Amino acid sequence: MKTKSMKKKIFTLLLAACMVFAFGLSACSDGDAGAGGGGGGAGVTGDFSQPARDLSKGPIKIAFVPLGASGPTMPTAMRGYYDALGGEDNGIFTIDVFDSQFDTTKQIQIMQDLITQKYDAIILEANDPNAVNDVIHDAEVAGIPVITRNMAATGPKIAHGLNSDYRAGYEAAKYIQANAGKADDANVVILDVVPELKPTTRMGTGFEDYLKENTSWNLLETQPVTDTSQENGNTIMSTLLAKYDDIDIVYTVNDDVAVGALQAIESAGRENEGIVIWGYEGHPLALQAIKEGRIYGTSFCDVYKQSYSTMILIQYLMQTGITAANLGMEYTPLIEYSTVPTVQGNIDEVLSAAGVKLE
Amino acid sequence: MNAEKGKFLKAAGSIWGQRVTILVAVIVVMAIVQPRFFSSGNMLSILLAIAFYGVIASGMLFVVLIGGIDLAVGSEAALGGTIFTMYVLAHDMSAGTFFTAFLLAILVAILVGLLHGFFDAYLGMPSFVVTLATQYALYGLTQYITKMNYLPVLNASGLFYQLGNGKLFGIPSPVIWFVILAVIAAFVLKKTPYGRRIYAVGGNPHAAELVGVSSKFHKMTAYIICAVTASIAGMLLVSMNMVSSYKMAAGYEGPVLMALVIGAVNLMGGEGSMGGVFFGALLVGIINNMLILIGIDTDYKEFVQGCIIILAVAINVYTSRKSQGLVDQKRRRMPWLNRPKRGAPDG
Amino acid sequence: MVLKPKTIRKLITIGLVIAMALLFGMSTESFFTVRNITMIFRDASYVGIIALGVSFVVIGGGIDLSANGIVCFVGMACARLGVLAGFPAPVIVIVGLLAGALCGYLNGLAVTRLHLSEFITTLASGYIFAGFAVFLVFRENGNVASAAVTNKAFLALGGHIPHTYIYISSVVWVLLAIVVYIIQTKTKFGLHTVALGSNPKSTMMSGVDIDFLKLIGFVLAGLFCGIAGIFQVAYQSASTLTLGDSMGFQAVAVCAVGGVVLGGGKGDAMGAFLGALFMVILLNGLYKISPSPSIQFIFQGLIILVAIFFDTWFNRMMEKKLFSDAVRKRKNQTPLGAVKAEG
Repeated sequence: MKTKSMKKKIFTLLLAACMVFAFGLSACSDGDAGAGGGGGGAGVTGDFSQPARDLSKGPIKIAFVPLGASGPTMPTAMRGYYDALGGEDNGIFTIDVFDSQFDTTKQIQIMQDLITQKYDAIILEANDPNAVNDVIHDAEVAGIPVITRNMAATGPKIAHGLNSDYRAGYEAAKYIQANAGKADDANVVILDVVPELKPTTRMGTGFEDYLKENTSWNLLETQPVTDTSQENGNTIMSTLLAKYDDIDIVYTVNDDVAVGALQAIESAGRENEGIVIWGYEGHPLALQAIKEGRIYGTSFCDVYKQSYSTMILIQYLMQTGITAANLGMEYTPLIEYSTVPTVQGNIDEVLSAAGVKLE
Repeated sequence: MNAEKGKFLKAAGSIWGQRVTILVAVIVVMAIVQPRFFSSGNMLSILLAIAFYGVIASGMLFVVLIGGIDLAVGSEAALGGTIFTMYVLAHDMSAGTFFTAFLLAILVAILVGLLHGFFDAYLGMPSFVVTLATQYALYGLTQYITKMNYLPVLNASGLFYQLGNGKLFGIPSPVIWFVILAVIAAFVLKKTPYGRRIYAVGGNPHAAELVGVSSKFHKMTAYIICAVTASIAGMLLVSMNMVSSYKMAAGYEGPVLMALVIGAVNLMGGEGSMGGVFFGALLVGIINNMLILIGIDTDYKEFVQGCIIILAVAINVYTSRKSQGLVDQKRRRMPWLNRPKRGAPDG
Repeated sequence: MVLKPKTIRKLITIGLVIAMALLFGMSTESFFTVRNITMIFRDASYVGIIALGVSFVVIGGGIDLSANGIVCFVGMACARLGVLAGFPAPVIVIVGLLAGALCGYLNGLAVTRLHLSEFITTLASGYIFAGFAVFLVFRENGNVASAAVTNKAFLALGGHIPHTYIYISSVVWVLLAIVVYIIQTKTKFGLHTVALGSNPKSTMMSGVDIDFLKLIGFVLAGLFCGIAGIFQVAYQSASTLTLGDSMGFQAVAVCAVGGVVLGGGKGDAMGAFLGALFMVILLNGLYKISPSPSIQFIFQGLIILVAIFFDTWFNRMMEKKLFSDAVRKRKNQTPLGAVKAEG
């Protein structure tokens, strides 16, 4: 018995050793054939003697690859895109949505697939600032302009990034400091995203940075909210309320969480302490609560206008055929949409300017 | 004297003795580290946090007892909640609409449960993969019927509002739902012939068939019960949040299974009790709460959670093996003895 | 010629894969392109390599859901080393493999020494291994951040074989599948694993150290997750904490679709291989056929159901056939050869 099991062990060890060796060898092989990235460099490589595409003739396929295809802003975004193209039945353009389900690997697979299917333009919410750089470069080499939206990729090769999250948190802290009339030693909690999403979703970081640089506020703690869902925001906030007697400011990275925090505060009977809740994005329930004065404010994103203008830009890019790759661009031109600090005082104005109606 | 001492030790070594020991240990630790743990607000927040998982777990218990598993509970909850919301949004806030919507969601849940039961009982397909597949399909369906919209209910009132936001003696409605459903489940499993047959089918379906217990019928009903409780959880969720989105309740199957396993439910079937599930859910809730109260660096929350769960289950397994006198034996010779007795509900 | 049930089972899966490929190929232009085929094989290689490892555990009657955590941990470890300039690539690879094997070893210890059930051990250890990754993750001012891997030689692992379209990971996947297939069908270890899955008690009685078998199964699963993690990081040239998300359940589903049935004793590496191919072709085709995520979800669910249905139906039919064969043999006392000629 003993010898047999020894033999087995030796066999397994040998096998493992073989595998390790094989891997080592393949790792040592030369490094030229990277995953498509790496190269690039300056210098115009494209042919710009004539328009790249005739936009009056269809079909032209545009892909939208969001982090997750759920969420309240999705329909607004789609409306913005289609309105810029002349309605959903324009006969030329179609916009297809691909849900990357918060999964970087899946997002890369989708992007690769879009290149194979020869889409004409891609709008991307990058799941990771570094992991998608190569595939964006691939797409641009293939002549597909890629615009990153909300969540940007760091790579120097992307054509355009539209980014608002870090600034939103920073500006929110500034606004609260200037207008909410809180004491200099106010106690702050931040309900942030889970660590996995922190590299791309950086409102919490922005808020924290402003807090550390410009205020003497006391940051009690930062708690991650799984799925940034309302019920999780509710339970975490009620625990924090039990833990601390004195909370002055609650910064949340999402309006769902803000509403959850509000519910927790109300069911703990502490709605009269004047706790400032601040959200992000502008979901209907939160907007209604701001109107009623129960939530202090939110960083309103005008998703419709962002989407509309993104699509205008894409039409231009498709016609000219400009991508960062064929222009040899080494940086990413940023179009930054600032979020609008929205509080009870200006909510009607902001909403009517954005064309959003409650109910 | 000696006999009494033995009795006491036996009680301490029994599964409930062990559970009480764990709870007391946790409470003592919390009393030292963070006395605010005992505030009524915190207690309610723990209960509210586990209420949704608990409602689902009380139904999932049936499925696990008959030897199946339902990984689609999250999507069942999303589907139920979405149908409920859509119906109410399309009509009004009256009581009549509320009940119709409620029944409609339950009806759809019954259909889903029937489907699962059919696949498992009649076609013999493994429930793990079947429910993993229906999880995709049901999320897809929910997305499809909502056209990927987010459905806020801005003028929530009446029963729709009360379902998730109502309070009885200061206790939030979802907690009450959890307790009621848990009591019903415990009663059905312990006191009714149907419940006993569920254990019999889970313990040994062939033997159960031989003594005239239809394993098919019991499997079907177990899946239906699970889908219905999941759907109720979904409705409670939309009513509390006053909004419905297709991704709500995503990933709920993980915590639910954790609660079941910590409550000493055997995932192979035939073993476990509602009391255990209640304890398991409570422990999961307390752990999450503790992590915030103690102030663990939040990045490592999941890591600590995983460790505590392994620890809890390990203690559970160790004591149950010890009570069977297996710990000091040469385990390698007779591993099949490690399996606890089947068929008998504990507690 | 008489086909063995096992062969028929495989032919069914191969048939399903081919049927699906033809369906997608005929309805879209871009399916049968070199680029797309190599992409399918690359995407399938990640989940496929994991499924190969997990198949050891599943055939042995267990289940391993911790792949998400292991891939995440290995990925982060490799990324951590991969950003160091001039760090030798083989060392990164070896560290990754060892990290994966270590995770598998821990799983195995928990199952064999602490007697925890496989399901809950691996479900919880998935969180724990992902927690290891949090210890390693890149940080800026204390906040989780992302960094690009710069080690050229390491990144080459994620790319093509020089001067071809074929990805290295696909080749390794195919080679590993062959190796694993041989281990599972031709060696004593493989046969013992099958025996363990079909009847642990009698395997034990016949003097096989089943704890050791289980342990090795988990170590191999961990090792293969490590391999997949290395390739994924090398391909993405960055690691995230979401790397490998949902791989745990997916790997088991892939196994099941390929006929490596939960509960043990059935199937082999070829099934896991075909299962991975099936799943990836399914998704790849669905992206092309219907851009609506809801329809993609629905079809993904339904087609997996169909695949599982075929599998179960076939297993049942075979059981019935074996049973009736045995009855007939008893009745007629016909020699074995005669029965074979009939069926």
